Amino acid sequence: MNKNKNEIINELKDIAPKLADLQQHITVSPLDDTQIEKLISNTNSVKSNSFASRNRQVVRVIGIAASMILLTGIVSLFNAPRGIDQVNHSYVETYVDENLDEFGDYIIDDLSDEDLAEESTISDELIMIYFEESLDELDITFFYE
Amino acid sequence: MKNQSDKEILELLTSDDRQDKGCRLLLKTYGTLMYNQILRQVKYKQDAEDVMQNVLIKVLKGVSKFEGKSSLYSWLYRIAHNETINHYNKQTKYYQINSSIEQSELSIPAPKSGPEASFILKALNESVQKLPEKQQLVFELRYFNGKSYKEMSSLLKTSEGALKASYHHAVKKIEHQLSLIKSYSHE
Repeated sequence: MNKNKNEIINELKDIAPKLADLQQHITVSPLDDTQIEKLISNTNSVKSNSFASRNRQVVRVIGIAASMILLTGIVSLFNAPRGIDQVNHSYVETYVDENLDEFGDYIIDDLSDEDLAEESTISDELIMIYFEESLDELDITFFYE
Repeated sequence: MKNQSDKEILELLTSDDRQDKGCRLLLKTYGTLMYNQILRQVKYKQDAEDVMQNVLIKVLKGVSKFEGKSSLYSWLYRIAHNETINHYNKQTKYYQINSSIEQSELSIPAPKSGPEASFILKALNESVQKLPEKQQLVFELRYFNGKSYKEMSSLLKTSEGALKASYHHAVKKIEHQLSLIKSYSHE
């Protein structure tokens, strides 16, 4: 600073006399070694706190993800489509019984086609009897949907 | 030589196990420049150190993205400038000169005591802040830090001619602002 100070003042005298005058009072405060070490030390603290905080966040996210995976697994287990071999008759019967309104039309068509009954006389009971007898031939792929 | 130093600083800062060394070299090379730049705009040394702290953290966070399109010092200057503004916005302790100002805390001792000095220093500081960034940077280096054009050219990767032109424009603008201060112009 000092070595250039006179040069700067002379440079300013003509074009900026007020700045030249003010220049006499300009000083520079050095950043000393103590300040530098303090800055580095504080920065390292901030970094390690940030790292610990990030780790806590990662653990939290992993925990949440693990819970979600577990929950999804349990739900999937209950809702999992069963293999054809594993579908027993009682399961299918119960399912069809509960959803008779939906399946009824198909079974009624079959009964009518085979002249086993007329549409107007078909009772739920008859449908279930027909269903039980036809169970082995029934297309049960809809259970997987 | 400075470019070599910048290269070394950047290499150290982007290396996990040698980052402390990089910080040390960075602060030894540019710390005083940045510190005085900040100190001129905040009221207390403690505030300037707090801003310096934030600057260093920002530098470490952003150094991997620094592409070297500008000089390292220009990049540091901008970070320091932005952090000073953030500090001002957060704490409203921006360098506002008033009658109770503690001169011992300031890097620019007032040439006169009392309100006149306040006006001059306030005008000087405000005028610098109003300059375009490049002129601000050049004025900071030359006027406040006494850098030669050769040193500035190396720091900013700009020709000495361009720097002289920038400095000249900056000086003229600031001088004009200072001349508007009535009390001072009568001296």
